[in-house]
Amino acid sequence: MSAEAVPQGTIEVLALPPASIGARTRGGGWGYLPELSLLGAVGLLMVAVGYTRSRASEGWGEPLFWWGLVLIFAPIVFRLFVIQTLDRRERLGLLLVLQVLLYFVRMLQYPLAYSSFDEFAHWRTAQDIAATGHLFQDNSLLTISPIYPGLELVTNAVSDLTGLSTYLSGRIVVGFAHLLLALALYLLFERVTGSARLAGIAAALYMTNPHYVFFDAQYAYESIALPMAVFVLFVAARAVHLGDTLRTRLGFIIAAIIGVWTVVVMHHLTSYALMGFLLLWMLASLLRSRRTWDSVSLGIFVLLGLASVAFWLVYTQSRALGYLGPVVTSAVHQLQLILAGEAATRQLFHDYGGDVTPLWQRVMASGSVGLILVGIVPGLYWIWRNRVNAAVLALAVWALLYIPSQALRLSQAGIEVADRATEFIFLGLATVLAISMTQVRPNVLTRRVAIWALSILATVLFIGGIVAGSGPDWERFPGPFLVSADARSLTQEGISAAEWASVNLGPGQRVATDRVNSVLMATYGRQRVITSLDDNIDASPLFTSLTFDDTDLNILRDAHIGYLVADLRLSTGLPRRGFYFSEAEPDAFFYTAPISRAALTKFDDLSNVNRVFDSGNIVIYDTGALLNGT
Amino acid sequence: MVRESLDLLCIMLIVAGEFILVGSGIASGPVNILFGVLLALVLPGYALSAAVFRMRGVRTAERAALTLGISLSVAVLGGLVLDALPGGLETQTWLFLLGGVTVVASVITLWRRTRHAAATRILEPHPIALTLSATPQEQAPPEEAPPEPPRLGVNRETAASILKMLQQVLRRVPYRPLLISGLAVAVFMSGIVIAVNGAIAQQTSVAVTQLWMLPDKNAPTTLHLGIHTEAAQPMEYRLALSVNGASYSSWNPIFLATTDTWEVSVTMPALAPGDEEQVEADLYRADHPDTILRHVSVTLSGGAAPTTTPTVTPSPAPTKGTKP
Repeated sequence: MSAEAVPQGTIEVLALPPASIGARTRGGGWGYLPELSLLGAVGLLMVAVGYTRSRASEGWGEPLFWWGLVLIFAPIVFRLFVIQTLDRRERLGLLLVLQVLLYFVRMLQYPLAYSSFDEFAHWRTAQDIAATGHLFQDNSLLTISPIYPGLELVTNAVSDLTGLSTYLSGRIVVGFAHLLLALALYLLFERVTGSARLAGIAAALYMTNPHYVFFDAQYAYESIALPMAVFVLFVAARAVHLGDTLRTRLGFIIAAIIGVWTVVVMHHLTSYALMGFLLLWMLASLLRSRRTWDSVSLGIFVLLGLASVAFWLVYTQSRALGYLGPVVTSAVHQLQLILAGEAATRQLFHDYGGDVTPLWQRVMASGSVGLILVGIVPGLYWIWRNRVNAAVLALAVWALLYIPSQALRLSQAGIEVADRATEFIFLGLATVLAISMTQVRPNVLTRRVAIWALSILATVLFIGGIVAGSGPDWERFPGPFLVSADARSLTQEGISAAEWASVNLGPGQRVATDRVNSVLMATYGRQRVITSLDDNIDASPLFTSLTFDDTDLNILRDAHIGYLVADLRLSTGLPRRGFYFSEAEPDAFFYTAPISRAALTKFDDLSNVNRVFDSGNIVIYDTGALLNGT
Repeated sequence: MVRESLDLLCIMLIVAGEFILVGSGIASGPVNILFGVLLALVLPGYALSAAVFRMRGVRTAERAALTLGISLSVAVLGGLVLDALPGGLETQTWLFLLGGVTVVASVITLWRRTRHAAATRILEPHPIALTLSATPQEQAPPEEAPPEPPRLGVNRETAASILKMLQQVLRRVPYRPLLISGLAVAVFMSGIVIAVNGAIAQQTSVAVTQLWMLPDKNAPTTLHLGIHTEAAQPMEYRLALSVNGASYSSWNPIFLATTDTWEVSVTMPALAPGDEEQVEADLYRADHPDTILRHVSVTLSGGAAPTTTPTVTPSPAPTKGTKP
């Protein structure tokens, strides 16, 4: 493949800078790929050492982590900016290397086992499929997970065929999905813009989205649905390409339809976002395209997609709407209250344990949002002034959703919606930002200082995105135990207690406990944990009330709780996440003092409650006698 | 034709290999992992995209994306079908689904390629040899004979020829990129090793000591007691059992290795209906004999089958390294 080879055909090729600087083709078309891979690997090594030092609470682990990330990202982006005549192989190779390294940045954070709440929830679904050989088993951790089983199905296939554990199989599946994402991003951007260079830059800019490195690489349904959705968009873009033979076009249409079905089974929100974008693209096509083929093809995808979304909703008894509806309405309601001055905005850059984000991180996170808001203006103006194709027009309109999504971040409920919207909206943002950087003043890119400046800006976007998307430092860095801090609250003691429960109590016992021990009991322990999401019962008073009263007894009996798992460490600090049990607990996000130890151990004084297990911090009580009315 | 369809041959061999590995019940090994991952995530997509698209119509990167994307679709949508069937999602059903899709698509591709090759051969122009010269063909001057290949055998000529070939091959090897890429892989692997070791060190840095006491589900007066440790070094313990505050029995010393489990079953005397007694177990570490390390308690109620003397039955299975 020659340098800067781009697909020709229906899509207007964007303007390209007239000359390149420092253009070199070496190494048989692979260019500086080996050298940049080595630099990236050194960056990953720094990240790994950074994690290890953080585990030992050594302060210098954190700067090592951040500089490691810069070393992974910045040189590759610089190379993508600098050479107009870069060979396509090198461009793609650089993106794939970047993708692999970033995936390992997430993996090496907790390399031995799953660590986030979402990962445990999906792991439980995968365990249930492996144990029963069938789908749609109840999962009280995340009730929606079993009815969108795409990720777990592929994991089950890999696990069964290789003999590997569900954990390793899941990591392999998400890794392959991320390779698909990098490929599909590049091919989509290349197809819709007609420029290999712009595609490389846009794909790299997409990787600066706040969720890319950590959230999208976890073992969760979105991590596989997103690559599939981008793949569908690429295939759809290819299907409307008239330069191909009918057989090839039909092939891409079939692939797109099958892809849409797959996304529908994989993840609710991604399938809705995909439908939304395809609809927008179809409308833009009706407005812009001179050919009816484009609009008809896109119309087929939209109709079939909407039909399959509707079918799956009916098939799963609309549980997705019941799950998503309250989140969205609560976010909008809170925003309305904030705008009306009736509610305070969420305190940014503070966690619920009292930690404040360091100044430089606040500057980076705010700077990245500011850069995006300023950076899209020239790109949007350029798109407005030039006759771009329907896909680019749709992506530009899609990018505008970034502004309202950021407003949602002001409310506690809205942050969830804003976070989830980011990875979809960034498809548009990356395109518009890449156009801003390369098309508005193409001649600027012939000057080395401009390329340095753009590379630094892209790196600021990347680092700022990670700060904004991966939470406070304690969430990013492994280290000693913290109270209600998800991965930082996972200890061998908790895992061993859950394994003990699986062996000695038997699976499927109804257990009430805090958020962290819930995920451990549900996965390592194979227990049926009581959650407000599935049982509509808030069991937190059992652990927070100082005396055992009728309210507690009613909770026990209503939820048929056979065992209570009390983690005495909850009394040692405020919950970093804002709550100990679930967002439904009365003092969630407003705790001013930790739970009393006396409240956690009040069951010791009840004669008909057996203290059957003690590992120092974790105590398990058998409440079976109370359920029987004795 | 065979050379063109070498990819399909490899696919068939991998599918056959996976069938043999699964059929023979070989547990997870490097070959099984490689074949399994390929069969689940690569081969169905590759074979199907090869069956649907012509090689020339789709570029390498696009084919790679199609391979991964279609493979994921086959696993997800095919998995839904398997779930609806009585066999469910099992190793054999996955193997038949993914292997079957791959083989069928490969056969279709092979058929298409054969047909295409035949059509190409028919359309190929065949030059007709016309002789315009008056000279008969037989009398045409003989072409210059090709140079004779070096004679086989150990001699200077053969050695020189092999050396020359080797030099040519070695000259073409891109040493620098290969060396740098190899270094990159080594550094990458070092990062993984460091992170994994760090995580293991953290996981094992804090000792875990569990004590439990569970009434037997079938014999309510029988209690199962156990200690489990995960510690950096072996430890000596003492376990004391009391009934209603009075000392009842004790086990001393109990030696537990770094990762060890000790279990015992105790059958208590039966209680009269309506009576209750509080059974408590306290665990002490030998180096802190007065500090209760772990504490569990169970309330026993009357009505169970009477037993005159307490029986202590150490469970035989998980008591390695134990001296009760």
